[in-house]
Amino acid sequence: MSIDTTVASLASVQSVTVRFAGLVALNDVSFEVKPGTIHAIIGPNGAGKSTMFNVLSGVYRPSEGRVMYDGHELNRMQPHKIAGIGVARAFQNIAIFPHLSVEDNMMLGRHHLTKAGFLSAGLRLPSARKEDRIHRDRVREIGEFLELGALMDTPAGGLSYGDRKRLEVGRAVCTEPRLLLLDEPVAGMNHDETRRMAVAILEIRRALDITVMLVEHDMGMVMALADHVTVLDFGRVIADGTPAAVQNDPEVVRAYLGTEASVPQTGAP
Amino acid sequence: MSEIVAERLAVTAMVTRLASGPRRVSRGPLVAKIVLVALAALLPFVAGRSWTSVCVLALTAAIGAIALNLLVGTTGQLSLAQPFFLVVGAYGYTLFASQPVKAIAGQSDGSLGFHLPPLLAAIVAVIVAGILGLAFSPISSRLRGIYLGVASLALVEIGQHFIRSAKNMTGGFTGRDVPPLNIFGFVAKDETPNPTFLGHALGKSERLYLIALLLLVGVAWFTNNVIHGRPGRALQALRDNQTSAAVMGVDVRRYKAMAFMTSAMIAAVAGVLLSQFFGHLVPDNWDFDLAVSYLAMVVIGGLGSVSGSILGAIFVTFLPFVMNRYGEHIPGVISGSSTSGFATPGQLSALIFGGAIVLLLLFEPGGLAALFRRVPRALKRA
Amino acid sequence: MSQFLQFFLSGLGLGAVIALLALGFVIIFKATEVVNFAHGALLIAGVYVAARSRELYKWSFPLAMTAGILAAAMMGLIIERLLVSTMRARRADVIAIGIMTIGVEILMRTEVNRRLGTKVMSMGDPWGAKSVKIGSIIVPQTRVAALVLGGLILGAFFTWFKFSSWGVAMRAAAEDAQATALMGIRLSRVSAVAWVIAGVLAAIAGLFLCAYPTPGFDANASRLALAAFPAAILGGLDSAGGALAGGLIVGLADQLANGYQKNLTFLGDGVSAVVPFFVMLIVLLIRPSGLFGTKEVGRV
Repeated sequence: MSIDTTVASLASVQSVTVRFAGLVALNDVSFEVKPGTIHAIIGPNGAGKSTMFNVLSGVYRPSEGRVMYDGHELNRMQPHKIAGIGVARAFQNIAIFPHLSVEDNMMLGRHHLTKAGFLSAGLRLPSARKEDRIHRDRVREIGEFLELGALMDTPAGGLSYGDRKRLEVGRAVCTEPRLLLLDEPVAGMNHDETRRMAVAILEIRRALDITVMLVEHDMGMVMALADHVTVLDFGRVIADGTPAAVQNDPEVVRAYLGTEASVPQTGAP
Repeated sequence: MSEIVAERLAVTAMVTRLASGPRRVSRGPLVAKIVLVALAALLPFVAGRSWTSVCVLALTAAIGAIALNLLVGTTGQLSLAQPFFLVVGAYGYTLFASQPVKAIAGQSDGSLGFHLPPLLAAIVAVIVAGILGLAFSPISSRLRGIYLGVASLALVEIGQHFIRSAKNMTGGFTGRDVPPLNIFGFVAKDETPNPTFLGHALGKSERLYLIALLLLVGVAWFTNNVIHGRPGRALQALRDNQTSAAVMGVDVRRYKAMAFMTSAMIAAVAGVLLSQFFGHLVPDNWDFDLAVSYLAMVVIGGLGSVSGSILGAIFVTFLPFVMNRYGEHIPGVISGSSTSGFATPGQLSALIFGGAIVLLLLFEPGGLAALFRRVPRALKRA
Repeated sequence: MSQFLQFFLSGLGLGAVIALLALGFVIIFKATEVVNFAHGALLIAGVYVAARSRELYKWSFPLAMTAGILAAAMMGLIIERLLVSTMRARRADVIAIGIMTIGVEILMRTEVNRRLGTKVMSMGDPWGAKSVKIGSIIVPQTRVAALVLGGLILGAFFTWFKFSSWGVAMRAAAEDAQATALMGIRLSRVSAVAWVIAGVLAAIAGLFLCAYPTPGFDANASRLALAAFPAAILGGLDSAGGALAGGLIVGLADQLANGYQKNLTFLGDGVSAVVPFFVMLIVLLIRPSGLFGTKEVGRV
């Protein structure tokens, strides 16, 4: 799939620089995310991929540059406000809440879509109960969609690694995002789990019409899924284009040869 | 490097929970709960008056412990400010419900009072606690758990200073009488003669017991709903991982402030009841030690658990009482006739609390609530 | 003016002592991320052993003091090895460990209370109730001694902290525990040494805090360590320099409020007890991580 440059971007990263105590984590990074695409960000370890996601979700504030999303300047907003305008994130290191059930973890994704406060929840007012019912129904739907249906009442801490990863993604989907940030969704998964996750990501984009940004090390998966790839190395963009174009970019090959043993290869996930 | 850091943080966030016990307490069969409450309501008509009195104290402590547990267990914000909000409830109620006393030169200093109907005075005191709790939000919402624990000590000191200094409101060292609570004609005081129920006098202690039980049931129900509802999910999320909670859309600062305020108001309810129990308020007992004993209830009962808070409160309240009363039969306790021994009942209780806190956190962070859940399972296996 | 100088000097003396306590508190936090509510337990362990060995064996003050310091160091080591490191090994939350130290505090305080009852033990320090006259200023000798000795100890500590391998390891540990471990520094040793030093500092501070103008060592002495909390927090929990600044601020605030009490009656009786906490709250309002504390960055 080629990118139509005439389509307005959903998100636009403009000259973003992030510095930590003398260390430059991102250096003048710019790229565009088109609506309806699966946009991958790849690069060797320490290239600044997770930092980029932290900027997009408001956890880090860039020292320079700005990030536009749907008319909002994300770099000026607090994380919880960013969640409220349709940017969701699944964490690399699984930040699910182990003591809550799978369903309640996903209900947390509905936080910004719901209203019940201390008083109405505490007194179980009809409004709070109705809201709870409606949103639980939707959460169960999404649970089924991600093959978590049978696990909804299980405490999240007791899930298998693969299921926890799915829950992480499912919870982000529960926020009804327009832009979904997936940070290494298949890291540590076996072959079968990886395949199921890849299918799920394609389904999320197709059925729910969500634009997906993906940080991933599994090159097979990236090349199979992504419409567009941005390559970071030492905090700089060294390539930006279709998977095929990026793969043959000499600079990308050099970056990967310099730090990792294998050159990214196209392959079935 | 940053990957390593992130990994470490994630591992800590995942594995290091305050309590390992399951947070989802099942609602349990409603019938069993109603029977339990009904039986509890009959208790003062079976037990003696001194037992009823201790029970009032335990019920009151349970309300205060539930308030603290919402903050420490559910939200992960350590607070030692409990005595302050008890003071606001107790002294606030007294101030709003009392009649003003004019100063008479050379005889009496006089005191302020608003002479509100008692129930209204209690409600106003609770609201004032909420306002003060909210006023502390620039601090309560910005500090991370453990810092708040130390910062909240300031409120304890301020509370004590207020009692000592604002003599026209608190009575200073001489103290102040507390007007009896009156809930739609049900007055928490002795009458002559007291009406009887089941052959038992329905006096001040019995009435206070019933009021405290009613309030405890209400507070437990409310807090349980909060914990299992939308706000509770947000609080538990920010306890486990602030950044991730924020990215999920939780306004972390607002929720910390709200948790602190809600906890303050519930603690003030306990304060109003305490004022009734004492009948006359004096500056003692509202100090760091009181904060510690509430913390003991929460830890012993089980962090994050409403039923645990109640168990912990009962344990911490009854232990010194039982030691005092049956001290002479307990070897090593200095009591009554046996003046030589290991420790006084109070000291022995304190040693047990301290030891229980240390041992439970080492071996059973889920507290009594988790132990109780484990017993039936162990029995089944046997 | 001379009155002000008198309060000021006295405040510096008290401040140096509080800084010793706060410093120990901060070192423990830096090494283990644990807020030690058992700081009072360290203090009374040291002072009790010092006072008791004087009473029992008629030891000289320096000898008794050494015994007390060793006892407090021992106490710190025991708490760290037996409890804190065990809980850390089980990945317990730092709040849980903090609450655990409250349990230790209750145990220790009750034990001393059980042994002492209502008895007040005198410290037998060489300064007694004597005062030093400098021009028109009169300051208790204990305060001058506290200022001089406290200053020396603080100076020695900061020099050592800067140049010793332990100091370097400690600062590295506070930066990034994982990376420090990878560099081959034994975190458990950093942590153990931190608790030992905190014990030593708390015992020395305790000896001064129980000397004149305090009547002596009694069952409530662990409360004296409460002053370390606002000092450490307002300086910044992870800053050794902040502990020094915080200690001096709290000491000065306390002594000035105490000295000018007559002019401060509108603030109520005994205002000097609350002043340190007020100062702490004001600092926290402006800087939530204290004067010199590092602002934390949220990471996922």
